[in-house]
Amino acid sequence: MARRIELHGIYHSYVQGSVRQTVFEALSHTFAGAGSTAILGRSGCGKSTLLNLISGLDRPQRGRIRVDDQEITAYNEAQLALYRRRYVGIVFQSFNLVPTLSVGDNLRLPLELNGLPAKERERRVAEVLERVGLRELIDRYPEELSGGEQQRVAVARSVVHKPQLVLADEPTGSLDAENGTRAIELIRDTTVEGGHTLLMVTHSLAVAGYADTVLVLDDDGVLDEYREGIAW
Amino acid sequence: MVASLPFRACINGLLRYPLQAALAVLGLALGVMVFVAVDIATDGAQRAFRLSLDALSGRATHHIVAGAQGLPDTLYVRLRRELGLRQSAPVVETAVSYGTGVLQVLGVDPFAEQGFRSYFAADALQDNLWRRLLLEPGTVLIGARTAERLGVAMGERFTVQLNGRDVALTRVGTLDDATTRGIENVLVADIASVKELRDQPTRLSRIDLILRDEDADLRAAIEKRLPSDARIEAASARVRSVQELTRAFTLNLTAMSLLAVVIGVFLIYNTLHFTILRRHVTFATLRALGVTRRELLVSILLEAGLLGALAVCLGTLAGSYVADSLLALVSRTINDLYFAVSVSEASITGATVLKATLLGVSGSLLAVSVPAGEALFAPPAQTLMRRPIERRVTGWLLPLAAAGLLLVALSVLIAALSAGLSSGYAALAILLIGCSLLVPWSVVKLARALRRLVRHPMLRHTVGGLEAGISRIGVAEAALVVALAATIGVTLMIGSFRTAVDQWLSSTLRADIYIRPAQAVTGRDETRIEPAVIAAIRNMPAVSDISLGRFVELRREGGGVSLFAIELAGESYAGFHLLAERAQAWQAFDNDMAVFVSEPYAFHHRVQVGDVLQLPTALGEQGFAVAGIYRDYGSDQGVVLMRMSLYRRWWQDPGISSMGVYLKQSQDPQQAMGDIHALTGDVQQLSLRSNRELRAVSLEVFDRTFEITRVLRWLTTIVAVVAILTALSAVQLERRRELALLRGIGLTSRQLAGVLFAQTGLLGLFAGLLAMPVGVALSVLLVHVINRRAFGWSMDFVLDAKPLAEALALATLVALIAGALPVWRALRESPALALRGE
Repeated sequence: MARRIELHGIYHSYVQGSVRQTVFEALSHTFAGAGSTAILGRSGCGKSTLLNLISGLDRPQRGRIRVDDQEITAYNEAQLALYRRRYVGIVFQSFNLVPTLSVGDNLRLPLELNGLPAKERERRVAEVLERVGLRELIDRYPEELSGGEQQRVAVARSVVHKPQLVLADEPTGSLDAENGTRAIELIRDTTVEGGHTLLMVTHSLAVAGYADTVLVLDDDGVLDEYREGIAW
Repeated sequence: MVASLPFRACINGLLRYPLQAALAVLGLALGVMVFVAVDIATDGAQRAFRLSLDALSGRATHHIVAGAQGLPDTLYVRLRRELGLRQSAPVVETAVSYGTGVLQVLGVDPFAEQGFRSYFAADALQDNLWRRLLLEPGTVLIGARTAERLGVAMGERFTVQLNGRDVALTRVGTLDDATTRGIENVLVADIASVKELRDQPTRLSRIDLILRDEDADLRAAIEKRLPSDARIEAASARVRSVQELTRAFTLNLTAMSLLAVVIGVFLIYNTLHFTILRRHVTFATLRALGVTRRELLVSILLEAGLLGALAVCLGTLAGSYVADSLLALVSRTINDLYFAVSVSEASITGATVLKATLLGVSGSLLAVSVPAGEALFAPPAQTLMRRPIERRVTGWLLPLAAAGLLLVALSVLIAALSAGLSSGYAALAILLIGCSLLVPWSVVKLARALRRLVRHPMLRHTVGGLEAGISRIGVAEAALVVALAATIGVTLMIGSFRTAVDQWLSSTLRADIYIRPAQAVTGRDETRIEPAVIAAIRNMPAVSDISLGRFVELRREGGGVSLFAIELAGESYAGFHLLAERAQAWQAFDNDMAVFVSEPYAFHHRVQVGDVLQLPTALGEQGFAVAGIYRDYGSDQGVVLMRMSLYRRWWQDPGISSMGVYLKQSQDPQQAMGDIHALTGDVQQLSLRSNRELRAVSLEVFDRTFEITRVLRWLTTIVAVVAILTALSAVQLERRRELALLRGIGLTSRQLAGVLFAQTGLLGLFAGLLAMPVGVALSVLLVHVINRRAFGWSMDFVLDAKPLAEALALATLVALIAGALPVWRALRESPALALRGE
């Protein structure tokens, strides 16, 4: 199980129009232990960028990131793909289901990539869909689902291959209040049941309230424990 | 290995846009179709000729050949007697006219044929056919297919024309199709019969030999006994010389067909680029789930390969059907310009399929590699957003345009500094690529300029839409510009060429009437006009002067030489335009051992004024000084021109192939032609043409030569229409929400259609405008580089405004037609559905 994520002196910036925006100057932080962590922050403070860096979807321009014993900043593209395939599950704000695959195939995809035998794949897909209450929708396509259902499928896909780390990027951002609550409860419950480490970013205090630990990312790109008096 | 679900995710994404995928396949299939059809047609015509040569040569490894007069038949007897040369067979060949077609007559000696050809094999002997062939004059064997096509039944008498005379032949047997594979339109007869037909009872066309490598001594002994104008050539040399003759012609056609394939590849690029842009989130999601870049790349390449393979299958199938029509055009041009060939059908070969597959599939893979790289080599976090991709496309416009300019400059340099035909085509291809890279940037610039001119918000939106959609329409617009530029370039080139030929004909054709034997096999025949006929015409009261011509093909190592011997009338001299000459060139021509060579001859053989040409005469190899180089569009291989008296002295051939008749003033050519017919009809059938008719016929042949080019040009334009239709459909899909929004804020369907049609019309207009300078540049290259290097012809470039205006109108029309389907789809779309998103 992933117990430790270490960020050392992370510098990251991007170009917007003709202006270079610096997101992190020298971010250092260690996420230790299992359980769930929520990162609060204002829009544009770099919450999603942080998740992208930890998942290997993006690379910092400087600094190192270690996830347990793996220094992922030293990985090449193929190694990063394998890292994501085996260790990481991601829940996107906009679900990002593969529109051309059915619900079942969306869930089978990470299992197939990890080389699980067909029988085991089917067992796991059935089990996870049962857990998120969508077993009967296995043959539907994403466009035939409501937003709430799509997010539940996205949650199921993020845990179906039993990753050590589940990263959720504003998982309730595209949902109404009722569906948002159901989604975050589902994420928490499935990650707790599966023993996954959950790292989610949100700008909602209510959503953050579901996590064991709550951190705040400020506008200067500094991570701090959320406590009374901290503005964000 | 490609994991199945990622591949399905990719291919399903493509199949979500079936119209786009279908149009891309259709476009490439059309390109492949044109290539396959041209390949089958040109290869078919050459193969038919090769097969017919092979079949007529049988198992002969070598031929003894000579000049216009052929070989004395005593040579054959001498070789058999003195050298015991048993593996030798005498052959007399001639061509006869039958209806509007041409038949080859092969005269062989049945007793010498064993080991060479099997026409007189077992079944023929059973019926004593050869005895009939030997004893009954005018008896022939015909292949079953040819007989059926000509409608000549067994035992039937039929009439052919030879040397302007009617000759009666009788079919007494059928050539075995199995042993005469490839022979169409061939009659086989006893050698004596054919000698008689030709009025040359003691001459042979050639002697076939079977020589092995170890027969070097025997070969040397044979060579010792040959007359001075005869030599031994390998049987394969004839095939090579035929291929060499049509090399430039087939290369031109192939280049034209490749243009259609390139535009088809543009189309695949356009479609896949569009679908990849549309699927960027899917790709990023797949990568986020752990699909490696390589796995995804393999999936995309596989998808492109499948599209390409499908297009190749369809294109190859269609091409093999279209080939029949092209074959008729190709073989007619070859007959007009090079040699007599009859091809009734051509089938597709493995080589053609392989070439088409390589072109189609590799073109597709190449086309997809750019957008695939674009989508896959950016970090997945970035590709989850559309904007960076759009920004990258826009950001590339200027560097692409700069690269385009550099390529144009490179093309000019290559054209100026190189000399070969291949480098000429390379310059042409580089010019087209360079100009196509300039197109997207130019469209944006034109749209911006137009936007500054218009004030109405809706019009500004209309023009702005072009700039915004450049990532989808840029490539298709480039394809349309290339196709239009090719149309303009080829039309201007043909126009310049036609003007030059017309002027040349006006200057060269000075006689009032042109005469040659009625047997019109090809334009360059060695048949003769009877001396009595010449004398009768010369003495007619209406005739003021005559010029005489004798055309012969001289054979020598490394290819033939066309020799035209002339006895010029006083007025004929002015008809020759000397491009380079030594001092008192005409005096040298008329009195010395001097010749003129045509411009193509000088070009192909790198001959200059003052050089000495070695020609195989009847009295042995002889040197002739080149006194001048003259303009001649009559033959792309070139001609050596010699005065008649010099020719007769060295070749000892009194024959005349053609005559020019100058009438006294106020004489009516039609009346004179009637008189000539009446005077000579009993002696020889002649083909008479007035000056005006001959000019018209010559220009008709010219136009026929370029008919296939016109067909190919239209096919290429159709591919470009499909390209622009695909692009516009893509833009319409891309702008669903925007169009729905416009309707949401109150635009009527008619107004929306107006906006969309205005955009497509502008795209066409821009393409037409951009194609003009590209087309003119292309034409200059075609006139001054390609034509010069392929055929050796120089000519002035004539800039005619008509093709430019036509291309502009065509482009606008084509774009409006291509825009109709996307507009119709946009109007049918429910605004509410489109606004809800994908």
